[in-house]
Amino acid sequence: MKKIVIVDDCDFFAQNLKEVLTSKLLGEYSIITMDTNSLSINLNNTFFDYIIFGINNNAESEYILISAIKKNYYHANILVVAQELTIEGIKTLKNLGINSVLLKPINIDQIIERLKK
Amino acid sequence: MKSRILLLIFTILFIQLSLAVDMRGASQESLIKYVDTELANSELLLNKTVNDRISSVEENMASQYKSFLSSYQLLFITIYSLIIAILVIVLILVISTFSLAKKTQRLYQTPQIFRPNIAITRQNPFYFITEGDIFKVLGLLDSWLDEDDYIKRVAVLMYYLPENHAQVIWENLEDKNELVNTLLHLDGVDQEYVTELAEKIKGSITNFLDKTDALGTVFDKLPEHHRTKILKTIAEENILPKGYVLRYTDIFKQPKEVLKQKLNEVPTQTLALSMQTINKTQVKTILGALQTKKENELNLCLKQLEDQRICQDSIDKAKEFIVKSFNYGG
Repeated sequence: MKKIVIVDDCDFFAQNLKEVLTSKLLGEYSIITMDTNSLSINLNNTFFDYIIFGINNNAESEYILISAIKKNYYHANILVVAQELTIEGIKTLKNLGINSVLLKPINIDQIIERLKK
Repeated sequence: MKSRILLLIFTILFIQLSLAVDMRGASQESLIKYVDTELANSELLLNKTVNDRISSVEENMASQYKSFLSSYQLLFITIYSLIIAILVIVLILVISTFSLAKKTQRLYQTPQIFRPNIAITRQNPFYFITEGDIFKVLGLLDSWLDEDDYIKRVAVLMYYLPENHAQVIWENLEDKNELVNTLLHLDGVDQEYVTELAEKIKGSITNFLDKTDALGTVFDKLPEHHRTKILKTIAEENILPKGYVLRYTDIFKQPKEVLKQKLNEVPTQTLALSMQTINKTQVKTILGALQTKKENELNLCLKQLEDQRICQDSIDKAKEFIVKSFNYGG
């Protein structure tokens, strides 16, 4: 079973997304949620196939963490879900090798489409 | 041993005393018989005492042996458990080392390749687009909305523009999801396509209005009485193209049809921002020129802005945007 982690400091969003994805994917994937702090601590300890990362503040720390994720999980598919993005942010994501971004409000079918790509 | 000897001595003394007492009246034979009986009794008593003692010693030894056995078993069990625990720990360490080695190998097999920053390495084919042209470019992009490669055109343009210029375009677009993903995948764009697009934009934005835009900047820096005089002259001589405005307040002098057409194209948020420092009559003029849906949106925006602190710079930018949107293609 493939493993998805939803990383978002907004717990409400992460939990809701987890519930909706679980009901839509019907047990195809094992889904867990984490905040950015927990992920920072567990970077090398857990294996994930998909990472859904929420950018909420466009803060530098968020991009640093994405860079660390990209280094540690080069094999995993990373989907960035952003509240808002600046051009600088988009270019940073491009330079980090992120190739899938969704802006909030998100459509759940779009996420599933990206996961199954 | 001492007790046995004491018992023997005591018996012999007892016999001698008895002999001394009985020798007077008893016969030789009865005396011998008596002595034999007494000796037999003493021997029996001695045997019994010795046997009792031996059995007690045996019992004691047996209990000591038992306790020795139980302590030995405990020690054995402890050592056995320790050996098992050590074996288990060694097994876990071996397994985890193997899995870690495998994971490490998997993680570092393909090194992460970071692409160079495009802004530094590329040669910009859109060099001619200045800050003042961005709003014209926005208008041009709007006119391309129905083109098949609209998203690609916008993405290419934003890819090459400096960040502050691209940001203005980004903020004024509605469907950003497709655009951001096109941008992220924009690596191998045909150079011919880029050059062609640059030529198209260049042809559309550099015209007579460029000069009058520059005039507008100079005009805003003039003292009020000079501006009035110049405006009067402009009106009399009919120098500017029809519908061209130099300042935000000039838009209220435009014909209603022009006002309707232009204001309905301006983003609602920008329009609301620009209305923060105008009088009630001007607000009514703008609201009257809008379609019902747009008017409702604008009212909602204005209500939201009431609770916010807005800086003068945002208001000026919004006004500038509206002035330029009036001028573009005027």
